[in-house]
Amino acid sequence: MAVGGMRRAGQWGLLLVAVLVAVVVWGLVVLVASEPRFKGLWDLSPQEIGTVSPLTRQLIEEIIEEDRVLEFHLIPERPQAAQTPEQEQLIAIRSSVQQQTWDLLQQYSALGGSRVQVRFYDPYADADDMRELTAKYPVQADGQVIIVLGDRHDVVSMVHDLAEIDHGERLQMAPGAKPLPQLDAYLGEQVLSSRIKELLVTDEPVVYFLKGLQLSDPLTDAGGQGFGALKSLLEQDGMVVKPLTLESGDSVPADASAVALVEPVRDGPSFVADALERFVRKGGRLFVNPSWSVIPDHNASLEPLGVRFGFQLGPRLVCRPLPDVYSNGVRYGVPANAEHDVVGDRMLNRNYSLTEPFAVEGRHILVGMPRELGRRPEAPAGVRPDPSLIRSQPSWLEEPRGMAGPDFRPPSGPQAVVQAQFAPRCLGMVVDVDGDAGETGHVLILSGQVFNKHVLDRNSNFALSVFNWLTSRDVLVGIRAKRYENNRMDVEPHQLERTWFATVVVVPAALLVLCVIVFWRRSRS
Amino acid sequence: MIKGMWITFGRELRSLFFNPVGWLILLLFYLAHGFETYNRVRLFSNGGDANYFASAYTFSLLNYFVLVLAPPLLTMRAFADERRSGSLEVLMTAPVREASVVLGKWLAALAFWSMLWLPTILILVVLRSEPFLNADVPLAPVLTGFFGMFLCGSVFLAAGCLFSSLTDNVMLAAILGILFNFVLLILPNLLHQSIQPIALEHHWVLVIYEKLHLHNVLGNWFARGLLDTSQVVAFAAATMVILFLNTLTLGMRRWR
Repeated sequence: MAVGGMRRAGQWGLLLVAVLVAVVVWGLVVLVASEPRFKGLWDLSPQEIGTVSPLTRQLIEEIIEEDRVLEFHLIPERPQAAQTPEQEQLIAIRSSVQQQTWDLLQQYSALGGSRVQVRFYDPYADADDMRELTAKYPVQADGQVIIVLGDRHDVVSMVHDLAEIDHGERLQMAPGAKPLPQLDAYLGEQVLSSRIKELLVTDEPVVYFLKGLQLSDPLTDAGGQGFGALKSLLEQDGMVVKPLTLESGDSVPADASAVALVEPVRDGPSFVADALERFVRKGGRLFVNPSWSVIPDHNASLEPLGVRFGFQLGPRLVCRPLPDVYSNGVRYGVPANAEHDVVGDRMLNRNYSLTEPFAVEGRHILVGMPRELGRRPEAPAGVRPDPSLIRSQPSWLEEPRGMAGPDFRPPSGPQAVVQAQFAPRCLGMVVDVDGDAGETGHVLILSGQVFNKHVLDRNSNFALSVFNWLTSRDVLVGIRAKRYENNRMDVEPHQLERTWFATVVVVPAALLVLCVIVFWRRSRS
Repeated sequence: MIKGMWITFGRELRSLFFNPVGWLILLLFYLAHGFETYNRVRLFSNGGDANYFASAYTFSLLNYFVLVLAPPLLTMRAFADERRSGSLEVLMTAPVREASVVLGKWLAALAFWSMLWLPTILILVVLRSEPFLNADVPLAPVLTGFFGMFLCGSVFLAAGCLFSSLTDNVMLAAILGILFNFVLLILPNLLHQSIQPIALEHHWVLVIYEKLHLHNVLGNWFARGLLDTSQVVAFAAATMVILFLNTLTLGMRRWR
């Protein structure tokens, strides 16, 4: 008996050890499987709202590579009692925004592993910790997210910064009816990722816009084109934008991170091209953005720059057939439509970090009035132009007709001849320029109207990406909130009745019948 | 070993289907599910978001109850009844390995568990059509949600088999299983605030805690259409580990 008892005790002891070992093995397997480099995530949620964009993932990867720690401290709203339907709705919205923010922060944490820490504070259970936190990072109210990266931090309000709430201004109500607030959009990822990017980037790059080759100062919105809105956009992104006038013998200022030459109408003297070449050969980055003008003399060839950087710019306009919004077919020669060309993801080179995010996410770029652009047959030594950055769909080249303007009619004639005139045209080019001391500068050429006041609102993300690339800021902007569209369900009363009948009566009844059949057959066999 | 496993599987599945308890679970579940679905449809019927309806359909209070109660009830007799009746000894003398027996019984319970949930997907497919909701309720989050229930169920069923093999009292096996499931589903929620500061200090604590926080894993990941491979691995590893322990406990009987 004693031996039997000891044996049983020994077996239980062995079992306990086995349990402990099993738990440890399970823990190790889970830890390995949870490493960011080993784990995968498939997002099958509607509109892929469950995961963050590739650009946010890129941001988190940069934080991991730099061995930094990103912290999120979520201070929730305190519970409130509603006294009116409007207050009740607002409380529900705040609660929804808070939950969405928490879910989003889980995504950041899942991506970043130990490098991204998320903490949710209970105002009652964590009162001491909250006091310590608010002493370190002054917070005015509840419902905030504190983002900490090293010794820099930022505070966002969940309701005011991360959500767009319509308080009834846009809703059409019956006279006398009080509108209830609605949550229009949740901007969590866009705002949070942008704030993280600002915390990551500590420098204030200086971008110089070359003056004197346009009709008016490009940094204002005066005149035909105007880049004042672009200037504001870049300044909001933390860049310093300055005008630049080059006289004979001048050089580009030493603090320049990039120089931009936008929509010039003149070639300019050769000393300007010399100064720009010296700048690029020292590792600088130049942005050249020619577009087409109906005034023939305003279509500068930019020959001095072209000779130095291996590109050539023609006077012809790149045209392609566009759908006519006034009829249901394709109609050639509708000037209002033919001016602008939408560049889709298949026309963007995925091998360049500048265009890859747009290609991958299928985001379009609007290009207006592009001119023919290409590589020179012979480029100087150390200059390597690549015309594959952005290409158009098969297009023809419209011959200039002086002040009469283009008629946008496609080529006509024998089919083979016409087809030969349609080809993908270069709209964007990158030129690598070797310096004397081992640096490599770059020239980015975009043909057409892309960033002036007429098209900037369609291309703002691309503009920021371009200028971040030009100023060598690795984190490219372009994080756009995934606009979630409500998948509305409206069920009629008779449909509700049918649903009740089907789910509460039919299904259980069918199971009961099946059960009876099964047991009856068993009793017979 | 495979042959023994399939023989045990077939026998156990037949006994589950010819057991009134299994059918009672099915009937009660689908009755409750019917009421819950109807109430949910009513809630969403006036401009509600069909995407959220899909997530709520997958992970609800009823599903919580079923997760806690059903696996122990399905597995309580797996070994305990046989121990009590003495047929387990006969089984152990047969030329069949413990692993085959354990796997066979677990697979049978898992097959019944899958058949418990499968009709809910079919019901939703029918409800999407015009005579009923006429709504574009997405199926992907529903499928991932039920995949999560399947994985969680596989762990709970394995645990139920283990508790059944530790005792010859069927009710005790059921109670142990229910307690185990309840603790796993509820306790991480309660510990959330206390764990946070420790988890921030030691990342491995956070990783393990997140995998054990089943409410979050099932509700905020699987039910929303997100498939994280580390969570799948966690469930699969837990199932294998528990089945291994079950095999061990069965093997201990041979040593006596």
